[in-house]
Amino acid sequence: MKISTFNSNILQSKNRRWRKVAYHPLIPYAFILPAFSWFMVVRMFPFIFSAFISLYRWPIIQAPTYIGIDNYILVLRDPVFLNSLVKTAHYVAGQIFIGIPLSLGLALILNAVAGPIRTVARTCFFIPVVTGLAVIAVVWMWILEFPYGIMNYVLSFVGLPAQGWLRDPKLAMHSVIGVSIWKNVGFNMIIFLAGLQGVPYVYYEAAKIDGASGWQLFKNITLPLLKPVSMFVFIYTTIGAFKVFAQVYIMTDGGPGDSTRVLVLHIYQTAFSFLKMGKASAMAIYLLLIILFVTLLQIKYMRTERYY
Amino acid sequence: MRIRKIGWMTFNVVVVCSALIMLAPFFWMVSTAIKPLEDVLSKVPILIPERITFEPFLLAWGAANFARYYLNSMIVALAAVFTATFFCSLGGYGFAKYEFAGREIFFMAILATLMLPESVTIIPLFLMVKTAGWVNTYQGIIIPQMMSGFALFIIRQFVSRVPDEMIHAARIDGASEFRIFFQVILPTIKPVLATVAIVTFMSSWDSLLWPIIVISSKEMRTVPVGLTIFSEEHALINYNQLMAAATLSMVPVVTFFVILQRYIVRGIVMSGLKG
Repeated sequence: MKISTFNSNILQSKNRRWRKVAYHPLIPYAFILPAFSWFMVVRMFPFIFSAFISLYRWPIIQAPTYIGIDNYILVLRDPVFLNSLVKTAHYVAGQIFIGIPLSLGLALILNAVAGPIRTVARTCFFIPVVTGLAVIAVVWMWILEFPYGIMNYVLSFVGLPAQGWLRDPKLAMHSVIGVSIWKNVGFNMIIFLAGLQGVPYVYYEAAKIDGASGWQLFKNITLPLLKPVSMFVFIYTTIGAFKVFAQVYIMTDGGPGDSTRVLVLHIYQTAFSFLKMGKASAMAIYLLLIILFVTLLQIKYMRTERYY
Repeated sequence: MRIRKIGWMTFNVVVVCSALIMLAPFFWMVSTAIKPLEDVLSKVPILIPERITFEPFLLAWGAANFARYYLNSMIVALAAVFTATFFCSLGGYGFAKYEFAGREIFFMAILATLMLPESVTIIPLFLMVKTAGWVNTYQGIIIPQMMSGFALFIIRQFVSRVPDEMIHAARIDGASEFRIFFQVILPTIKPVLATVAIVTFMSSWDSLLWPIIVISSKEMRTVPVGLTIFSEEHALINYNQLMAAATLSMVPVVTFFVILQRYIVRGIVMSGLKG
């Protein structure tokens, strides 16, 4: 960078008058100190501390006892933990394979619609995104109430019987997934929309002259050129989905039974309801590893294809 | 994109329908909030209220203590916004415009922490906060929200685009480094600061996992915590109060959003396009 060569030359200069122009070498550290120390104290250190705790058996009321990696083995044998892995995977799959295509589809449609309708629609889609999770969970809990919630009322018009959306173990997870998709579709849609608007129209024109069909246009022009945006949407959605907590905690609290007991909820309950700090920390480390692994997989997979 | 004649109608219909699906739950929320209890619990839902009462709102605000929850959330959110905007600007500027030993390493270290899920830090954080005697205090709630990796990134990105010449010129004119920061950099990056402020505010207002852990008394609850506990206590009964509380909870953030849409959307698009 120009600025530093300028200054380092000056710092080395013997000419006292020029030396006064340069800045004190400790200044940059002063600038980054508050932010950096916060990240280390509030994120890095607790992480390392967590890794330590995971090697102990610590019910808080008693002193910790060292048990090495026993927690990690115990956790792998815990049926509730394994169940939470499955439930979380189910949730993540729902967000990725239903939520993302839905937002892409809506972006494509919105891209084709004229100005004012698009702006108003965009605002409408965004209101669930900016509304708090607690509000949304509470409102949907009311809507999905069995048997007199309004969702069942709507169903009765189509002749379908009332469902226990959040009370039926077979439906609960699907309901939670649906609510989250409803909330987040606007977010991904906006990002896709921005990406779509970056695709030069001339590509489509040229392809149409060559006789390309709508589907070919999508597959060979739109999709490849959306790659960087898609990558972000995929990764961001996945990571966020693995960390789901608030909606589940409020709407179902893991139930009925264990049908919605996702990983973060289980960690929270193990630590703060069952007071098993060591075990919970081990589970948290597992979560971290899973997220890292899945993210790396995604990055690797998306990098294998070139884009123009 | 070419709009085909037959497609045009369908597209518009789809857009309008989806937009309505996005808003419908909120209409139902407000509709429930202004009904007397018997109407709320009627077997056949009454879509448009026949009798209107604002009592649920008054009850939620007063008896259910939401006024206090609002105050708490405000204090926490504003503090978080201030610290995040200020210190991450300092940091973003430092990383963007200075060269110093270990710059990349420090940055990588921060980057690494962004990958950590909240779950991995909450247990130790709780123990640390407990040792400091900060459980159930404002500091305790605010500290884990004080900064934002997103803010640091976006500000650094933006600041790196500020022309070096401006900084050189100020330096030659004899300005101290901090003066350069306050009088040259900060005014130039106002749009980003606005985005950061809004995003941080919204994220702080909405946070649940940490506040639920660190708050133990009724007086210190933030709005999401209050809403959660209210729904647990009053499940199956006072839905109109619950919906009134929910409506109240939505107001600040949605107001911010409607007024400041541009910045929020730009912030999200920026993070998406730059990856």
